[in-house]
Amino acid sequence: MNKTNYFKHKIIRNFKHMKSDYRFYIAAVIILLFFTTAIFGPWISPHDPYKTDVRNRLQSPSLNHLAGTDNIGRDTLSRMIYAARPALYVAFGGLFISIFIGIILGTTAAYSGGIIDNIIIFLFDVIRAFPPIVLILVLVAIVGPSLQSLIIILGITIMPRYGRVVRAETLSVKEEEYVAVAKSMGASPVKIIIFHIIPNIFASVLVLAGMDVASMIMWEAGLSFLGLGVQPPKTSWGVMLQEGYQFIENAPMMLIAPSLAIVLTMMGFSLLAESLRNALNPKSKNEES
Amino acid sequence: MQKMLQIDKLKVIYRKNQKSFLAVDCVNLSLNKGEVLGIVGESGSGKSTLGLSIIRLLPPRAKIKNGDILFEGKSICEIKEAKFNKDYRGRKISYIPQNPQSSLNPVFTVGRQLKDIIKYRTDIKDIKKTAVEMLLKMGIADAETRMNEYPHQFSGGMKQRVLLAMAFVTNPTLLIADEPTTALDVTVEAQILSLLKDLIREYNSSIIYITHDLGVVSEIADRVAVFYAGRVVEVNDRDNIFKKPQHPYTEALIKCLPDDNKDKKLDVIPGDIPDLSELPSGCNFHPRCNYKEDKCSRKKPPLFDTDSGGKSACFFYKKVGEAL
Repeated sequence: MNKTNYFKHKIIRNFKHMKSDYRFYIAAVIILLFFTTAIFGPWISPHDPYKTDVRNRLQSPSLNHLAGTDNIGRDTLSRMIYAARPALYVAFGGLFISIFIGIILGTTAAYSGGIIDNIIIFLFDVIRAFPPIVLILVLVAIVGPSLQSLIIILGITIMPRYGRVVRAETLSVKEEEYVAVAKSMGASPVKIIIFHIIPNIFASVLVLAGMDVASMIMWEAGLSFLGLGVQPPKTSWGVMLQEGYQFIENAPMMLIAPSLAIVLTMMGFSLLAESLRNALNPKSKNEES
Repeated sequence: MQKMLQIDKLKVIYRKNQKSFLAVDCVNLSLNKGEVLGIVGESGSGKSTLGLSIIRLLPPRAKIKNGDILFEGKSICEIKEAKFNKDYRGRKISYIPQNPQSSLNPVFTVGRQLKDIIKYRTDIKDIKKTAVEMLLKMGIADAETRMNEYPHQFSGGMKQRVLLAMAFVTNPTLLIADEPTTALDVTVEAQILSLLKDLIREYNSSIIYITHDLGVVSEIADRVAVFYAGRVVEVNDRDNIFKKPQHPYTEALIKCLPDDNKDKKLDVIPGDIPDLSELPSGCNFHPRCNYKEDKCSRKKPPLFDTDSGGKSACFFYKKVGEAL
């Protein structure tokens, strides 16, 4: 009860700042649209995205097919709507995995120090030493391409970013006096990490995650485009791009529609992150008040 | 008689860049039940280190070199860490920190933090009622509503009251108060001190009160130990310390207190406290001492028993304090 109360106050305070920021409104509209599409996709899409209709292939936009049809006559708009869900899964599933592992490893490293710290940092460095695309290609080649493996692999690849931030923040929070007091009252290390450290570092993790949503969506599209993520006939914006670019001269809508979806969603989340960063940044707050 | 706390030849060193600093050097102290021991000393004289070694929370670079701390007849150093954490910290030994402003977790309400202590560190069943009663006892009006407020909504004095509640709610045998009023202004300090005095009477806890303020010590302590550069230079009952100090350092400290004569300039002790890595030979205080003679720079003075029942680490303790 008290915890929600605290976050409520904090959210209201930050929200007040964001209300004066036009970027926040644009972002909110786009993100709301994205979520509605992803959640209610099956109910709002005008056609079955898997139903082929070869006679009406490669059509231009019309009233029946608002974004035209693809090379085997499937409705592009419906496929686009259905593709929002894998994007959502990858973005939030991947982030959840990386934040979860990152927090566990980061706090453990910073709190215990010494050799455990070195081992965990070494692990982070090993993962970060590879260019992400190379690492992902190798891992996908080992595990095999699918939506689930994409989520897990992306989660692990991004994780060191969170691990490092969490570790750095923990190093400073654990020197706080309330941690020393908790220790003097006999709180166990696990309790100190859960009750005293994680709530106090979560804000910075949240900001970082906000900025990463957009790049996760891009990763999903990119890898699906390369055939390493969502597998056809399942639909994803990356898969649609891959199918569309072969027909760019005859049916440009096949390419334009998913590109637009990717650009809009990424813009939405980037704007939100930007606006959030502004609101949470104490310096920018002082300038305006 | 069995002493509640007995510190025996305690020696704590800090290591930094291959150099070692003797933070606490051969300290012998003891504490009876219900007694308030004031520890006075300048910054860096090792008094906080002593406090931290009793609850075994020394920073990793500090180590107890030798000596022993006996708590209720048992050596603290030999108890396993998990057992010490569970049965001693917060239960038998409580700690009041120096800076109340940053000693409460900012993301939880004050009530939740107090209730946690009651839940995990005592056997009290009625947690909420005890918490409210405790806060009321600490002089926090409207305790029931203030329980749901966050630390940033409390003033420094209020936070110190909450921390006192946390320390006393477990009814500890020993309380280590590490300069609890240093960060507060003088009026609040006076309030907290009088509250602390009431609490000591009620709970009959033994207290180690660490401070650099002789005024506070004269207010609260039964017995006073004066620290200088990691060593105890004088121990005595409060009244004897102030009436007839028997170590030149104590004498100089008392002379530095402001008195009623407003035209008089305040006395100062010439020189600085020595660097703990390069202590002077012989008596640590001799470079700044008015009574020094040749042998002070050659030989370390042991603790002599004085006529008034205390101890003094000065060869000339009989001469000291006459002038006051």
